[in-house]
Amino acid sequence: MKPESLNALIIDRHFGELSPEAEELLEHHLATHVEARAEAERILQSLNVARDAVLRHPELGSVPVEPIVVPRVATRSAIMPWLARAAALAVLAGVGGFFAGRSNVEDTAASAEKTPEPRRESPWAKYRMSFDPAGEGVQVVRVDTGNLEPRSMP
Amino acid sequence: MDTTNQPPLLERLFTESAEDLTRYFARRHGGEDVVQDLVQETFLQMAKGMSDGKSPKCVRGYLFGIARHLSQAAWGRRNDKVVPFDAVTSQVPAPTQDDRVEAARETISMLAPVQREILDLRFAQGLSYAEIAEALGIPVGTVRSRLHHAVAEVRHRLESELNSSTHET
Repeated sequence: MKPESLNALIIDRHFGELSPEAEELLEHHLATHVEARAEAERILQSLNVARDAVLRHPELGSVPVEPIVVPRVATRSAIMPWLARAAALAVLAGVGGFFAGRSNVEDTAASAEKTPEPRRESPWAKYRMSFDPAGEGVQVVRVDTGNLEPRSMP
Repeated sequence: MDTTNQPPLLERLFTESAEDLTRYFARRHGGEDVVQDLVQETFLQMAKGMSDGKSPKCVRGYLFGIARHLSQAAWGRRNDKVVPFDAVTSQVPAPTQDDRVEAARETISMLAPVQREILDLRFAQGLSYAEIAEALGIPVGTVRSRLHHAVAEVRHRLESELNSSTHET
């Protein structure tokens, strides 16, 4: 028999938690194995010392209240400061952009008539991306490359 | 709901367990008035639970489960009239100097809180494995294994102490 099993059986028997069948088997084992009997005696001695310690020291069983750990979740109160800051930044950027845009509104109007030139520095300059008004996502349109100057790849 | 059995059951529980509960609370809270209040509160909550239709598998374990919650709540309340624990220990006769018991105390103090509670409920209150399981809300197998482990730890410590003292001599 494994020492762990004997330890469990001896303790359970001591507390009256062993079934009659198991108790009978244990008694037979102890009767036929001297070493197991000596081991059982040592287990019982440890059990008695543990009992004395618990009885003499009630503080061992007085478990303090364990604080309830609540997982951090993004509550409304936690989100709101960030939303408020983001909204404030957006408003500031909008107001700043409005006043900055008023000074050169004519330039902007003039430039709006011109077709934006695709960037030529990149191979992606042949394409123009725009949002599909039908809600299909992003549209990639190949622009007329006839007017683009040929360039050689490095 | 059939309530005809409730008064006799509560009376029987009070007769059988009031003393045990008093001892349980006294070990934790000392002061006699506080202990009696907690015992009465325990039975009051038991009666409420039964009127709500609760039918625990192990009534005594359920009762101690209520007592445990009340005890922890009392500890958690600030400015409660709970006698500090030192006052309780001072009422206990001074223990004889026993190195083995002290070694066991040190070992047990390092165990998990629930394991120490299991030892206390078993040794000091005499609860069965099933009653402890009900009181703590854990499986019976866990009670059993934790108890076995605790005793094994104490034994290991005692043997280490014995070996070290043998080597010293």
